[in-house]
Amino acid sequence: MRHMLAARLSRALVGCYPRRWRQRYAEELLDVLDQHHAGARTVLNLAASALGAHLDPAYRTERLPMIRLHKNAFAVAAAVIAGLMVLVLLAGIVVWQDNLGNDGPPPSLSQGVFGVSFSPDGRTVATINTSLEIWNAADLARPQRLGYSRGDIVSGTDPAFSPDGRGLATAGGKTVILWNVAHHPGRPAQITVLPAGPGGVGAVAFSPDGRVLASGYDDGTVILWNAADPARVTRIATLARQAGGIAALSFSPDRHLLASASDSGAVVLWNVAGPARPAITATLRLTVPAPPAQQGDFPDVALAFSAGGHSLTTIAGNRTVTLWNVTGPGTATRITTVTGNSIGSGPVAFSPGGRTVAGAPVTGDKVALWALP
Amino acid sequence: MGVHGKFDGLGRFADPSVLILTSLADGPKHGYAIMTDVADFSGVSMEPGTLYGALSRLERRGWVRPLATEERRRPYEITATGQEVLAEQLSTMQQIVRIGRLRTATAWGT
Repeated sequence: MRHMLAARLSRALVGCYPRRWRQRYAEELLDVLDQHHAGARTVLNLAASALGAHLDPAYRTERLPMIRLHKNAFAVAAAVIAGLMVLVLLAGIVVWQDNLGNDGPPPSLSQGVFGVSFSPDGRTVATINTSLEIWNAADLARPQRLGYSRGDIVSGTDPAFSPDGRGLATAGGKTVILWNVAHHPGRPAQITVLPAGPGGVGAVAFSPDGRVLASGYDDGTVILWNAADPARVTRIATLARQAGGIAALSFSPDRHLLASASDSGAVVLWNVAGPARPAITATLRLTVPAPPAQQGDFPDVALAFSAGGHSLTTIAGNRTVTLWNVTGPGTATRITTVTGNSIGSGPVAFSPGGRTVAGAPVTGDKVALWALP
Repeated sequence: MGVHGKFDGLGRFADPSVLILTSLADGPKHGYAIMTDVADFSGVSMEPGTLYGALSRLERRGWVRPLATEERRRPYEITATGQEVLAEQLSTMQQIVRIGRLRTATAWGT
């Protein structure tokens, strides 16, 4: 961004040289600028050189004969000073652009990452610690921090990317915040803060077409929002409360079904084909095994529809993986249940399509990947 | 890097005219080629504004001569006068180097 601005300013400054100088050198100089990596120094250097060329008698006399110079001395001096002030301002903007979004040390990741999410194309990662951070993960071995938001976001909820990867929803307390992460990846910009919900936000999810945003709260409520215009999000419907706090939300690929899982082990399937009139189609009871009950464990619930939308995979208590057939209208039947070793004791997440599960312990630095049948 | 790093390159001391004439001494070059060549042999990263300011002065003094433009690029050639001036400048610099080395050796015993 900085170099584009500097390059544009440099090219504009070539027009500030005296006319005769330009006739002779402008084309060559523009060609050199095309190949040169322009920075703030290039801009200042060109400004000084252009001023020098104006003061050079060889170029000055032709435009400003001595008599006229005397007469116009004040006007010329004023123009030169005004020009210099503009240049200093522009150079300041170039430097400011360079530093924006990176002032102050970034928050340390060792403070703990509470939430994490991959963009749909898998090239960008958003993490939540005490601020929202955006990482370039194109090279998984060397992720680069692109930038972070101002202000604190303290939340244990994973953020959700919009399907086009341009928007991001984060949870902070009782509110959901929408961010633009495409315009300046180094500077996530708040688009809007949604009205506070009835409890702490436990889950957020975008519909596959990006037009509906679902937010689940720890009192068991789910709210559907019209997010077609991220700047003007409006409430479509509030779903009937279910027992427990909402821990996971997932839309089916055709957007007709919304699955909401609560930490009490119930998954409700909603028909949201018409989001203004949501209706319960089925309630699934998850077998929650006796928790290992160690202090500091946070058994997680996770949901994923299969790529075709015919089945739903659920994980409860980090131990029980269940595959459900959700093709029949109004019904959901259990296909298979696998109870195995604990998939860590912390957060769990599905890959897109639900074929792979990632589980992480609350502490430590290992993540386990599980392939599902 | 050595001294270049410590003193921010020779840029603060070196006269761009000498650098440009030295660059052209082994054959004609266009603007960007001069910049990269100077950076290669001296470590000085010359900005385009400085380069063309110096080139226009050298041309006016008759020390360099523009050749026919190839596409948008115009090569410059050092003139006979330019070569004389460069040789003179270099022997002056050599003198400075000799005396400078002698005096720093006396003063610091290196």
